[in-house]
Amino acid sequence: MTEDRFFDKLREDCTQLRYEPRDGALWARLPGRIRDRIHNQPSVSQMLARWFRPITVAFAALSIVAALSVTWIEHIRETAYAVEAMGSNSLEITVDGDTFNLTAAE
Amino acid sequence: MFTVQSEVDRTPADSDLIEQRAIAAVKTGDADSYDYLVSKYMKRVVSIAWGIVRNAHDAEDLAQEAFVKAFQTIARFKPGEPFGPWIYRIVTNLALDVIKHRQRFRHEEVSDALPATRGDRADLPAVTNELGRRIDAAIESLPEMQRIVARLFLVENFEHAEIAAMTSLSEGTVRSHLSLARAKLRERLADLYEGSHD
Repeated sequence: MTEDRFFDKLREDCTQLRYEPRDGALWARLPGRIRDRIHNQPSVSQMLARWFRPITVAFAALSIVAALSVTWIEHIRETAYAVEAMGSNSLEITVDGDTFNLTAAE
Repeated sequence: MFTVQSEVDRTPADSDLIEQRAIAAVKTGDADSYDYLVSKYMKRVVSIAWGIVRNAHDAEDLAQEAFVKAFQTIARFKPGEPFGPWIYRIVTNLALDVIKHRQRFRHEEVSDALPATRGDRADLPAVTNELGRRIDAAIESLPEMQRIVARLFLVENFEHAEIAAMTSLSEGTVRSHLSLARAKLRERLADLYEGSHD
């Protein structure tokens, strides 16, 4: 048998390998699924919403993180000012007529 | 809505004309006319997808995806062209993407893992005899692209040029894959075909 004859014969025998689903309902189900998809195509506003929603969420998350960061930095700065103010001013305490002067250690 | 005639009553020329009318109707916004194209091509589209991915659920999903994609881009479809080659190309490309994804996933798995099977042999109800099972196993044992090209040629009966258009390979590459596949299949199926002189 020649190569070509072999391949022709094989091609004839291969027709039985075409897919035939066990699930016969597929041929009714598939057009229904396709119909549902094409009849529920998103409108332009839905398409835009689908794009913009994640972007909006990302911006909102960034804004929250930025606001929290600024608040925290401000809080740290205020604490540092208070310690600095205490350190730069001496404090006098009088006990039984004796005056003690408290200054921050260098 | 576009009326769908029985396939039995229709000549090929009628069928082409109806198809062109259905495409034109879909382009003007009549989505119901798309049913005709779906019913005409779905069996072949599912068969092509299944032949590549070898999994019934994936084949159904791919067929659905291909028809939806074709619908969404039908405005770009050239008038007068047959719908078949276009939808076959779409489903083949989608199925090849699934194969590539599976290969990438397989590469990422640990090297000692068992090789993943291509599909579910239980999905092969048409093959009821030994000859069919042997041929199917021989085709499945081919390297990936040889297997896909051989299947499109032998099982789906596409010609070289059609396979080239569907797979985005050159016709020469398709012939080369087929030639290699033929040599391997002849060797693996020698006991079935070498004795026959017809």
